[in-house]
Amino acid sequence: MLLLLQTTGLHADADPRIPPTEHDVQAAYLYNFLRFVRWPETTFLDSLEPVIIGIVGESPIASRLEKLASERTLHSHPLIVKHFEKNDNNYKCHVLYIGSIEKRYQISILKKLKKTSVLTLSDSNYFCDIGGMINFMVVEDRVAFRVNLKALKKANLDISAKILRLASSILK
Amino acid sequence: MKYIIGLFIFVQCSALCAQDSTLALMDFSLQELSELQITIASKKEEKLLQTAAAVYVMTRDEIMRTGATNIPEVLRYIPGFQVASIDANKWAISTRGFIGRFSNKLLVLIDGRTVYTPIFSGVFWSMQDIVLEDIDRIEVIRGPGATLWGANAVNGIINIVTRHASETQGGLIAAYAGSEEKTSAVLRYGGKFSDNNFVRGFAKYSNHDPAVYTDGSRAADGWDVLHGGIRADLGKFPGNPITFQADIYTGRLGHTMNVVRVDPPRMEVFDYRGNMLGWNALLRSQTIFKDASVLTIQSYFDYLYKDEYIVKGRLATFDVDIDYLFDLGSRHQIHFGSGYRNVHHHYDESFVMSISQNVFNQDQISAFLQDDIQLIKNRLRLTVGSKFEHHYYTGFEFQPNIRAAYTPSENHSLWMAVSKAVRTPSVAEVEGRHIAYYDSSTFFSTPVLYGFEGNPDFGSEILYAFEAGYRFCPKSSLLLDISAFYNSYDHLASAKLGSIVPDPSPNTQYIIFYTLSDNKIAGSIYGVEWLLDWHLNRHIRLQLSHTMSQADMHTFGDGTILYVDQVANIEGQIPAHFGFIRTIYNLSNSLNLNIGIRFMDDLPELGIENYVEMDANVIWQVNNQMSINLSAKNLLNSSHLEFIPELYYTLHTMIQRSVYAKVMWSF
Repeated sequence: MLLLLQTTGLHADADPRIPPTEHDVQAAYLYNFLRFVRWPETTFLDSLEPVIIGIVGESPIASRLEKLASERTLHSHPLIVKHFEKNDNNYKCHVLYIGSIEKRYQISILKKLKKTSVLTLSDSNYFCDIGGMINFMVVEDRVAFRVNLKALKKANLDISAKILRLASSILK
Repeated sequence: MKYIIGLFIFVQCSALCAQDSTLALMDFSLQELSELQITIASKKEEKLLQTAAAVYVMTRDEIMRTGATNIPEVLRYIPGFQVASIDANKWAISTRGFIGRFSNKLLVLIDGRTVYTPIFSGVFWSMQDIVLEDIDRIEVIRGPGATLWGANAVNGIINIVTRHASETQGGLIAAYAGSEEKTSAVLRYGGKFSDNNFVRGFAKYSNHDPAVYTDGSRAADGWDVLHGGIRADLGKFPGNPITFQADIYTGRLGHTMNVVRVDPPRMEVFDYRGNMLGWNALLRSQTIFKDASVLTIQSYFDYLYKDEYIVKGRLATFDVDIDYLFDLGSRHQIHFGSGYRNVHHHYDESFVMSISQNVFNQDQISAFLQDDIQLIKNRLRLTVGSKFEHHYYTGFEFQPNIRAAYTPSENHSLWMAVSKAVRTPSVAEVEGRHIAYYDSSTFFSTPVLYGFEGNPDFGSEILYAFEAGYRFCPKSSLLLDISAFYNSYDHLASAKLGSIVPDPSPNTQYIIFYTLSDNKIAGSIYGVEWLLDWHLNRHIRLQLSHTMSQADMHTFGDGTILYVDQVANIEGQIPAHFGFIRTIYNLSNSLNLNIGIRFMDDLPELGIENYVEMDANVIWQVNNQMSINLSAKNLLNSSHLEFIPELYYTLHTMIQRSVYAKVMWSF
C-alpha cells in the first residue's frame, strides 16, 4: 500500500535561538546528499521526472521531508515523498529513509533492493553494517554519518568526494 | 535466540513535535551541518509501550552506572526484583515471591544458554561471573514467560545479552581494588579477520573478601574466580550471522558448613572451601530471509562441577533449539520452535546428602507455537500461544498464554495477560535424601536426626497468572509503568511425614525422621509494581520503583502436613513493600554521579528486619581512553542481614559497607 502525502504551506521559519533537532539536521543532510549523488543515466527519463523520497517506518523526519518536497526541487526535478510499509513487495523510489522498524525488516528491505539504484539511509547506527548505504549517528551533540561505499558501488550510485570527506567512517 | 523485546514492534514514543527549523537548514553546506549542535530529545526509543508483559530492559550504560561488580548487584536496580545476599558468594533472587537460595521459579539465561541448574532448581550466581563491561543489556520479565521460554519461567525471566564482537574491538583493561570486592582485573581484546568477521577474547580474575557473621566476627565466605572466554561473530551481508561463544571458569568458594555429624550425633559448624569448574560452548546461526522471516538454530554444551561439601555434582548439558518467525499476511506474526535437551548428572554423595540415582540422563523435548495478531494496526495486538514440553519426571506439560496490548495513542498503552506455567521438580525433590539437622532437645531416649527425602510422585508446581498493566509516556523523557498481578498457585511443594530409619549399627545411636516432598500447598500471591522513569533534563534522571505484594497460602488434601510453617514461610518470603530511588546526574560531559537508595521491608518469618541502603559512585571519563570510578556500596550500615536460606547447610553472613576504586583503560 502506498500513500502519497504532500503537505503545503507550513511556513514557520527556524527560531535561531532553539538548536535544531536531530531529524531537522538529517533532513538537511539528505537534501545535500541528493545534490552530490549521481544516479545511473537511465534512471530519469527527463529533467522533469520527480525524485521520489521513500520513507518506511515511523520517523520524525517524515514531516521535515514533506515540507522540503513541497518547497524545493532538485535542480529541475520535483521532489515527492512516498510512505511505504515495512513488508511491501517493492520500493519504487530513488531514495529510501528507513526509520524505526525491526532489524529483520530492514534486512529484508535491503535484500529486496538488491540490483536497484536506491540510495538507502537510516538513523539506526548499525545500518551500514547490515548493508545500508548511509547511517546517521549522534556524536557529541552533532549529527554525523557513516558511508558504505561498497553498497553504493553495487547500486551504481556515484557519490561525491565532498560527502566522503565529512563521513565519520567509510566502509569500503 | 529469543529476545524479550525483539519480538515486539519498535515504537518511537517521542512526541513527534515537528519543529520547523527544517527549511532554513536546507541551504547549509555539509560542513556547516556537521558542525551544528543539536538538541538531544533524550533519544529513548520506547520499545516497551506495546509489550503485553511486565518487562524492563537495563542497558549497558545503566548497568555501568549502578556501580555493581556482579550480576546480583545490578539486579538490585531492576524494578520488582527482590535481591538478598545470603553470604559473600550466595544470593537469593526472585520476583513476585518464592525467594530463596534456589529460587526455583526464576529462569535465567545468558546469551540463550540457561544457567538454571536442575540439582536444586535454581541458579548458582557465583558461577555467572561474567564481564559486566561486555553486557549489552539485561532484559527481564516479571511474571510467566513459559510459552516461549519453557518450564520454570514461572515467576520471571532474566535474559542477559552480551555485546556483539564488533562492538568490543580493540583492547580493554578494567581493574579495581576495594574493601570487600578486594581485587579484580579484566583483560579483553577484540579484533576482526575480515570486514564482517569479528572476535573477542577475555580473561577475568576476581577475588572477594569474606563478610561477617551475625555476631560481627569475620566469616569464611571469601571467594575467587578465574574466567576466560571468547566470542566470534561471523556474518556475511546481509543478515545471516553466526555466533560462537565459549567460556571456561574455575573458582574456590568459602562456606561455613552447618551439617550433621553422625558419630556421635551432633551439628558441626566448620569452614570449607569448595571448588567449582565449568565450561561451555555455544553456536548460533540466524538467517533473515527476503520476506523478513527469521530462522534461528542454536546449540550449546555446558559442563559444570560444583563442590558444595554435602554433595559434589557434575552436570553436562547438551541443548539444541530451532525457531522460526515469519509474517502470515499483514496481521499475523507466527513464531514456532522446537528444542531438545539432555542433562547428564553425576553426584558424589556424603552421609548427609545422597541421590537415589548417582549417574543418570535426563531428557526433555519441547515445542512452542505463538501467533501475534495485529487486530487493529498499531493499536490492538493479541498474542496467543503455548509451549508443549515433555519432562523427564513429570511427562507432558502444557503451558499456554493469551496476551493483549491496547495502545490508544502513542502516549499510553494498556495490556492484559492470562497464562499457565509450571515449575518442574528438581533432582533433590525426587531423588534426594538429605539429613539436615540434629535435635539435641529431643525427648526420645535415642538422639533424633531430621531430614527430607525426595518423592518419585512429586509433581510440577502450577501457576495460573492474571496480569494487567498500564504505561504512560506523555513525552519521551517520562515513563510511568504500572503492573498488577494475581498469581494463583496449585500443587506447591510441601512436606509430609516420610520414613523413620534407625541407625543400622547394633548399638543404635540415632533415629532419622524423614519428611517426604509432596504437593499439598495452594494459594495466591498478588501485588502491584510501578516505576517512574524521568529524565528531568539532560543532566538529571530519576527512577522511582516500588512493589507491594502479599501472599495467602493454605494446605489442602489428605496428606499429613508436617510443617504447617511452610505456609507461613512462603507468605513470609514476600516483603510487603520494597523499591528504590535511583538518580543519575551528569555533572559535566565527563563526570557522572549516581546514587541509589534501596528499601526492603522486613521478612518476619525469616527473622529479617527491614532496611534502607544506599549505593553511590562517581565516574570520571578522563579522556576517550580512560575512566575512573569511585564507588561505595551499602553506605548506611556497617553491616546488615538480608537473608537466611531455606536449606541450612551453610551459615548466612551479613553484607558489609564497602568501597572500591576502578580504572578502565581502552586501547
